[in-house]
Amino acid sequence: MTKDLTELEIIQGVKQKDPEVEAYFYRTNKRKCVQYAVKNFFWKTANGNTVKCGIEDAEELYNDACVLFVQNIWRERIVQLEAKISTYLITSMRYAWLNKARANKKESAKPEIAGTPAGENKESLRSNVRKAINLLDPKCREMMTYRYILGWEDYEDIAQATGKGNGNVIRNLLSRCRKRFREHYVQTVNVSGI
Amino acid sequence: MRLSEEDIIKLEAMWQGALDSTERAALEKQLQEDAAFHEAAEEWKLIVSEGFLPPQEELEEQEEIKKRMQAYAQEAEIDSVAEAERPFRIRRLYIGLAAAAVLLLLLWLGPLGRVLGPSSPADNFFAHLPRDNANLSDPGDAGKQAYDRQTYKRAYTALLQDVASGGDSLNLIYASVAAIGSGQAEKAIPILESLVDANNWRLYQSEISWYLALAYVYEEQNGQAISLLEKMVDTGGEYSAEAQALLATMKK
Repeated sequence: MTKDLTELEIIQGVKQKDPEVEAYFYRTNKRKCVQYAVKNFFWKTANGNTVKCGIEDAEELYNDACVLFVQNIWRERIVQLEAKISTYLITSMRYAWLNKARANKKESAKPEIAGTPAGENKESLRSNVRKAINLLDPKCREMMTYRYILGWEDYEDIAQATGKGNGNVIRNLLSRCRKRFREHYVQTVNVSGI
Repeated sequence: MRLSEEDIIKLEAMWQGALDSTERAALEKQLQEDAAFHEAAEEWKLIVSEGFLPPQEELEEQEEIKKRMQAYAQEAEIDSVAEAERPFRIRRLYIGLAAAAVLLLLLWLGPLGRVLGPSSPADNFFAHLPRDNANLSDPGDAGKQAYDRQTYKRAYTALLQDVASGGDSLNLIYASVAAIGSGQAEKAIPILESLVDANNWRLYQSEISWYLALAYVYEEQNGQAISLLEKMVDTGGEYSAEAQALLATMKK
């Protein structure tokens, strides 16, 4: 692809499953995102050592962020992107890195106690959650995607990506969406309540 | 029992480690004392930690997308190798054309250059390096703004101050470009030399080598410049055509 594409053209091309646009999207953002992660991502271990994000880690985070971006566009869970695509990818990579750090800390501390379900039950749980998400309107589907599928914790990050006001607006919107999601979920699985 | 939105916000903050110790203690007490609340909280935790992960169907789709992404990465690597191994005849044509263009420019600018002051072969090769993460920067940052406007003298000082105060060290490259652009190539040399072959800067080695070579040429450290430029030509990659053309200019 010789011509430069706008962000909107990229999103439309990805949505239409155009392989050339998908390749362009992947290649044009890679260097910036990987370099950013290598320079800025790190965590401190319990004994005070710093674990930096290496280039291989950064490339893996980048690939995973791209996969989720493409899938969420295809499945219409992200309908509008106000931030630059690279900013969106870097934010996704940052949260994935944060979760990796948390998982690492948990491993080195103590195993999580719990009622984690077996494989079959997990699949059923995930399938029911997806059903409940799909019943939401596009705006709420997008909110739940950012908060729970992508794991973005800071409302300001979501506000920046979606262009919906500020963190407080997102907090209120997410609260309404989560209520609707819970209603759909309870109906789907027929449980007493969550 | 049905959790309130407030309960959920507090519980999630606690699981993320973002709740202060007083609130955390109160919530833990409630979880211990209220069995129904505890059960509903565990149910929500399970949904948050497991339920939003992709079901099998989506996992398979993700695997397919991932394979394509990996193929794009490999194709990009092959392209860069192919670029480096492009038949010499074609490269020679490009290099010849670039050298001819440079020669014409030199002839045209020659008399003017002599009027304005001594020129360097690097003059015709120096170009602004756009910042990679411009969209991520704070719009109020004076150094970056000065750099983007190509107000190099101001940008050089401000960018170095920014790095010294813990800012993005990527700005070292842009500070070096600003030093060269403001006629202070000697200041760019020690900065860029410290970045050559550094592992953290692997993705920027082409830019680092190219601007270091330009700085050497400006400072008339021709031996070091030629050695670096020849290395760039041999390894191919970005700036190899420019390196070849600059070498040709220097030899003339």
